[in-house]
Amino acid sequence: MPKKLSELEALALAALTRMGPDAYGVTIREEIARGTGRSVSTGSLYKAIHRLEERGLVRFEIGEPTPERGGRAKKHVLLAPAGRRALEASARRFRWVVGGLQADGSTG
Amino acid sequence: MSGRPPPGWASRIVSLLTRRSERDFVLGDLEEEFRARARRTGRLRATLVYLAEGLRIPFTLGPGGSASDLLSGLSGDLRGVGRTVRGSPGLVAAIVLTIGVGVGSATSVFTVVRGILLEPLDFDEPDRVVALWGETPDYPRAPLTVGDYNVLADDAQPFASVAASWGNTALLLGGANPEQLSVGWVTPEYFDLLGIAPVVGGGLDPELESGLLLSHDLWVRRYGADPDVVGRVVDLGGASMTVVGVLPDDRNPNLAAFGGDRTDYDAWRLQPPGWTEGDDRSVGWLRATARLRDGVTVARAQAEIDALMRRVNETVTERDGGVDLRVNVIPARDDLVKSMGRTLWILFGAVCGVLLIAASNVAHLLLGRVEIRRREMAVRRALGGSRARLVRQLLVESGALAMAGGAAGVALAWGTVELLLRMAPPDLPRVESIVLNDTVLAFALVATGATALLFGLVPALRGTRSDPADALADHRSTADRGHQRFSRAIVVAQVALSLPLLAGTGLMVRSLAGLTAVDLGFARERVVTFAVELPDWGASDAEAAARMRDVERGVAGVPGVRAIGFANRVPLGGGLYTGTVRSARMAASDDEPREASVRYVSPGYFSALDARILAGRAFTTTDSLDVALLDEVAARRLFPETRDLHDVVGETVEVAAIGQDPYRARVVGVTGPMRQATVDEPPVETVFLPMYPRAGQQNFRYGVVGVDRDAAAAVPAIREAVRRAAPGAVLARVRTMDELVDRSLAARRFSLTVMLLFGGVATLLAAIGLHGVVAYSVRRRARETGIRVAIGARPRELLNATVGSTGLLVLGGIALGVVPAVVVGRGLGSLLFEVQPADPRTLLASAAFMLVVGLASTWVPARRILRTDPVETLRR
Repeated sequence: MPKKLSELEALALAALTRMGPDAYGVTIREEIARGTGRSVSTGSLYKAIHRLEERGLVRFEIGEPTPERGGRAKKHVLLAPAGRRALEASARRFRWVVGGLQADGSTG
Repeated sequence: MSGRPPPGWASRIVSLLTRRSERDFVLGDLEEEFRARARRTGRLRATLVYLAEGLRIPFTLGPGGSASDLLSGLSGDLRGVGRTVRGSPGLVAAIVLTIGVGVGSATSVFTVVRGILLEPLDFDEPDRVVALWGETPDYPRAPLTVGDYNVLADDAQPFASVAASWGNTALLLGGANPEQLSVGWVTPEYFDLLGIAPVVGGGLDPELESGLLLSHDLWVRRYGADPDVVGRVVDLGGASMTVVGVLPDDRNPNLAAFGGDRTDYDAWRLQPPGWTEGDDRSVGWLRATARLRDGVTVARAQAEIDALMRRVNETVTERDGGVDLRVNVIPARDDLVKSMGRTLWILFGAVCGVLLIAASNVAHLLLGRVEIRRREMAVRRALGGSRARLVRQLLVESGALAMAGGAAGVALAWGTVELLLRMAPPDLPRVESIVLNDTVLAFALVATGATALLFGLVPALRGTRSDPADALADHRSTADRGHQRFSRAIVVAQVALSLPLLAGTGLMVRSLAGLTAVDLGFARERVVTFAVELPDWGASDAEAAARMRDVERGVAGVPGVRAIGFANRVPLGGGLYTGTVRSARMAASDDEPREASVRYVSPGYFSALDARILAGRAFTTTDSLDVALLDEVAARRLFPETRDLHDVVGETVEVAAIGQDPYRARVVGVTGPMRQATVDEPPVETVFLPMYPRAGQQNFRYGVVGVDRDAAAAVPAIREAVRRAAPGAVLARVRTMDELVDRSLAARRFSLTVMLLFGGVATLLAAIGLHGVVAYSVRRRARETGIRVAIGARPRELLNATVGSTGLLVLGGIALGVVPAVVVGRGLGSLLFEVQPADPRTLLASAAFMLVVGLASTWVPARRILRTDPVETLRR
């Protein structure tokens, strides 16, 4: 069951764990940039979020239109329980990867 | 609310690029960020970032809505095309090649048509520039007299400005080798009228009568494109002239020359103002050009000029060419192109026939395939595919094949145009405009597209038409009938389209054969001609004659030279020189003198040309002014009562060369008729006068040398002999008589080659098409044939029946093609020589050829019927 997450998908999920219900395109990208220094394009993020939604790891909620957005609505992204589990599985794998390294970065 | 939204055009672009389902959210995000960034760093940067983000969307999220569907659909279709190519490479190659040939042929002829007929001349507003030619009963296209020119220049309302030109040759001395130049003499308004300004230096100014304007070609060739040439003093024809400027390379101020060879002038100068003053009407020599006033059409200008000339003619008592002069207003481009227009368009129509034949061949090929794929199509439709989608797939396939064929066609057209240009007759106008430019490529694209639709649509619609259930059942016979109708139509159409080209080829072959056999009245081979210029011919006629005799003696000494003479014009060399002549009796009864060609010749002229003297003698060195020779045509016209030409010798005639007073001369000889002007025109009346007594007054002096072996090989020795005999002599226009004859026939040869090329292509394609039709038919009916053989039919009879029925189709096509063939024949117009456009023998021969080709193309694939093994076919 635990299929592999792409790096961007993992980052998106990670951002969502830190964010509340106000998470949507703009804010998720800001969070990722703040946490990793990596700037993600709108298109890539939306694609990643779509894949997550298809796999049931997140769900959407359409928000209110605002004038800032030229009268367009926001698409809020909420972390689903399956998404949390997938992220944890991914984190476990990553800890094993890192575990071979000593605290000071050396191996052996 | 803070700030303004992103620019409308930017959001439209991004909107197009975004998938519909996400569009609102993505655009909203981007706008939010835009506003925030605009506040921080300004609208410009914010817009840039907005666009950058937007442009990445298709590569990440995926392309926009319907575009996305279309793209994925098309990529599927294109993959299908790839499968087709891999699956049947032979078929694809045949299709691409056939389209290539069709599109290539049409495109190459279009290139020629565009360059010559469609492309506007490179003046300012070229449609407003017209040529003004005089028309008299004797001469349909004559230069104007000074008197008439001034009437047009002063009183003509429809023209904003009028100018005139004239040309001669002169020797250019100074600097490198002396060179004989063609010089254009113009009135001051000439270049302004055309809107051509010098690219270096200034134009011709009436203040400086000795100013000289160089052609671009001369400037590069002789002065190495040196800008300092302006101000240089040169010796032209014995006069000191100052170079004032150089004309641009890309604008051609040479409008149609008159009387033979088209000359591009090497240099231009002003006519002395006195030349165009007054109302002299004794000689027509001005080539007039005018620019129409704004808003005046050619038709209206013509009407006004007609009225004007009617008024003028009433006051004119005497004029070169006659009292009834009509002035024709002809758009400059049409004048340049003359009668070629109709011929070219007809040729173009014929070659579109080639394109149609190619397209129908391909249609037939694809139709066969569609039959095979009918089941596949039916299954897909049964599973829910829309007919539109299937048709689209087939059209994409056709489109891809057509594109490949079109590209091949453009390459082919390029090669063909190069070939045509190489073979083009030297007087083909506007050769420099015949290039493959954007217009031509656009035409190729349209031709390819039309072809694709033609051969793609019919099979696509037929293949996807039937009800899926119906098609899955094996209804081969119904499909066959429709296919058969189409095949039969194709055969008839292709034959009908090929016949005109074949007939045209036949007509040209006969014309050229006739021309090659025509009796010129002088030797076609082993004659060399040249123009010779000396810086100084001496102060009198006697001195000039002495120099001529020096040259003659020098050349006569060259081994292999039979005879040499001088003349003021060379037969077939272009250039008119006319006058009038009448017999003493006609003068007595005040009859109108007859227009005749006037030739000043030296004694050796006739033997050099191997021209026949039918009565009397040629000139001798002692002959003075008052003798003349007539050609047979003139002799018979002037003395209609005499039977025997010998009786004409001794008669007196009154001769007046152009611009000169009439005087009496005694006829000392009669020559055979000579085709002085062109090979195809009948000989005109000619009167020969002795050259030596007028040697110093000639504008042109041509040497004519008869040799006893190959003319071309004799040229270097002759050149050398002339140089030795007359130091400082410059030879120009050195041409052998066969070259002159070839040049005279060049236009026809060219047409013949073109017709032969495209006629051959058309016939070949039609033969291939016919072959394909019959082969397919035989294959499809193999089962039926097998049955019939099994129950007792003889294969040979079945074969004959097939050949017979196809033969009927070919005959039908021939019948349909007769009328277009006559149209093409008419289109060839003046190119035909001694053969009618609807010549029955040619039509019959073309029809017979087509029939033979058709029957052969049928018989080859139909032979398979003979090998029918009923057991085999029934088993399958």
